[in-house]
Amino acid sequence: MNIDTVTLSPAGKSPATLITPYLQPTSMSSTLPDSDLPRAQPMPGDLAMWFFIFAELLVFGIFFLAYAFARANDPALFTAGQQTIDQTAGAINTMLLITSSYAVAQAVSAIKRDALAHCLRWLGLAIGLGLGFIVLKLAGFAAITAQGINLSTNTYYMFYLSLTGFHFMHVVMGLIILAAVLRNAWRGAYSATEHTGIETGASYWHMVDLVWIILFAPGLCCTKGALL
Amino acid sequence: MKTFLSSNTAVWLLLPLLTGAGYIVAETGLGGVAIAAAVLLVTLLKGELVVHRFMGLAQVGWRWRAIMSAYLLLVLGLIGVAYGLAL
Repeated sequence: MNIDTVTLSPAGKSPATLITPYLQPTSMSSTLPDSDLPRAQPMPGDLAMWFFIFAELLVFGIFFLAYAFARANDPALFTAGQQTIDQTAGAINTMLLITSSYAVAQAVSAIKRDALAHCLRWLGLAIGLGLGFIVLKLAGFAAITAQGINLSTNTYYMFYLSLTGFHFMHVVMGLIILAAVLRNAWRGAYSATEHTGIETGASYWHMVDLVWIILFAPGLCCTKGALL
Repeated sequence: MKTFLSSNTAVWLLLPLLTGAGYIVAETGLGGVAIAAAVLLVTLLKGELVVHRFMGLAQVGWRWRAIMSAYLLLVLGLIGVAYGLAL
């Protein structure tokens, strides 16, 4: 805004009245010159959650690399182990988490429009899909342990069970967070102007999805058989 | 059309397609450097889509996005190196 705007303004309006619209975040895009757009927004949700997410990604990253380089030392063992894993279940689980992540993104988008009913429905769908992942993964773990396989069986299964088990615990944690978010949304804690809480929970859930997407890749790099 | 392509729904439709492509490649039993590179590139693309669209980092400062992109590049790149060592 330049000074001419103020001096040439209609009589009777104070400078404060003229400036106020420029201080409203929602009106920025319609008032600023195009050269100033788009403005970078702050990280969605609570910044503390993002530091937690970065720490989690670091741990998973080290885990992934330990797996990959252990495989490099004995590719035959890892390929044989991967062929015993149900790849179809892994693909279905990927679809479940991707869709659940999408549902959470839609819930955040809905609350930003003050569409609470839509937000609640999307959150419910996200939790349902997450529970589907849990059921399928538990069935997978049961099938493996029924064959007498455990962490001590060999290096491949040590990595497989610990990596997927570690991720599984994050899914459980994510579902608890989403349930808390759903409860808060139900109680009217979020709105178009206050949605930090739901964005914080959503960011964690997307991290769980992101980790799974990477987790699904190493197995696909080999001949038939996936890590998950 | 532009709005749709930048929407969560478009990303959601694209992610299963990419996952399905990787699944089909794995089911064919193919291996080798080219397949591994393709799978890792698809995984990188899927990760970037999740980070940019679902996580909402497309609108935040580039430094935050750079952290996530660097993470994906580093981890997937080193997985590729490890795969190459096993050949």
